[in-house]
Amino acid sequence: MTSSHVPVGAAVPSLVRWGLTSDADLVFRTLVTFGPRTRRMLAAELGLPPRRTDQALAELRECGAAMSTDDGGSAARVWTARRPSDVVSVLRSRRIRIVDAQAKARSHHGVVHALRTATAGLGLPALTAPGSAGSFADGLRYLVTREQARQRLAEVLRAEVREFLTMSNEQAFDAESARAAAPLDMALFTRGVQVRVLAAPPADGDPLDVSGHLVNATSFQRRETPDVPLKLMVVDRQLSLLPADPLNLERGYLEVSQPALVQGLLGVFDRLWSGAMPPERFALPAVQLSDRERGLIALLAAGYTDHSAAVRLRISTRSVTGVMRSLMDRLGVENRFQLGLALGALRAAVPPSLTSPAGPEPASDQES
Amino acid sequence: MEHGLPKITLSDRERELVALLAQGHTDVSAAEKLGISARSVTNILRSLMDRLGVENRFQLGLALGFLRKANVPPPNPALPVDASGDNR
Repeated sequence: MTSSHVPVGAAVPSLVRWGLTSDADLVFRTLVTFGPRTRRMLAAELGLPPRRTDQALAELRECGAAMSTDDGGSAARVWTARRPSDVVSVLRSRRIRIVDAQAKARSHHGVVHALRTATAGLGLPALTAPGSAGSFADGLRYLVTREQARQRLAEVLRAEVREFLTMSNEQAFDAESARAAAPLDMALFTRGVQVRVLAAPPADGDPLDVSGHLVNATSFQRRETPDVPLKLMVVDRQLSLLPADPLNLERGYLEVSQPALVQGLLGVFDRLWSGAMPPERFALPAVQLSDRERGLIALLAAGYTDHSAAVRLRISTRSVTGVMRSLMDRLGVENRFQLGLALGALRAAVPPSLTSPAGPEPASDQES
Repeated sequence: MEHGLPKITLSDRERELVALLAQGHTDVSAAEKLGISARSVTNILRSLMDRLGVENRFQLGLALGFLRKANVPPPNPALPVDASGDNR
């Protein structure tokens, strides 16, 4: 109990609010308050079973809240907490992260570019779809439509396969893809194919996750990471599919069977998988809004000021500030802009300009 | 449900700014980070608000969140660092 990071009894922010378990929170507090410890010391002092202590430590390590020395076996490792303010800011930035299409396209091209430079002379097209269908280089094939890609995938998976890896940076799935994926997932599951799904956390706790109920610890695993750089499927470490044009999935997929390229793509998957974690750690927690909060947000979304909203609701302006403050605390944000982002992503409210028939502006000249 | 939504595309500058603000930067600190004046920050946001047809920051946030626009500092997929390698 010699090294002390913060004075005993000082306020340490609750990590539960950020989706961590209460065990993890407890262990974190202990490390922050009483300094580095081994897992055995933690278990003994907290009266936690070793298994729960280990889980809590794993959780803290996954989100960067604690780190360990690497020497010796796990029993000898000494665990240290990161500064609470740093931890909170990491958790916060992860949580209100929303990826838009342009950023997705950029990261997709980043991966493709890296592969082309890493493995000289490869025929991987730099950008979007090549002009013609069919094979255009060894081990590369262009499936011109999304539907064709789906059929090809189904065909491949009907054969004897052992492993299917998939990662996606979609934060919301359209109903059609979900319908297409569901029977496939189910079939793979019943056949005992090893399936690993790596996904971006849904922006709003998306309900349309068809594979969720299949997840078990053995053949069907799912993890989440906010950094999925592209959409990718790999079958038996031999064949992979990636979108020809990340901005428009309807333009089909590239089928890649060139060993060096498949290896490169697998490398990306494996690295991300090892750093990713089971779902719901990052997801925005469901926010239950009270009637008063809902009413106030609706008015502010419609362009009312604090004052005019207060008048309308027959409460004081101070109360308006108070309601907003408590909402910001619950969502873990610091200002009205961030609060708007979070509520918008949660579909809790929308400014009328976005839903009115006129809309803010025609899309045509803005869209690339 | 997405079909009625207007489409807007953010410029790189707008995206960077929105990303910083989403992380909790103030106008001033975001301006410093981007190497532009605080006034430019105001102007960029003003034009974004005009395009989205909103009047204040809260509404701007709502609109961007709703449209799922915004705020990733683009990950660098060329070097997908071992995400657990945060062992400082």
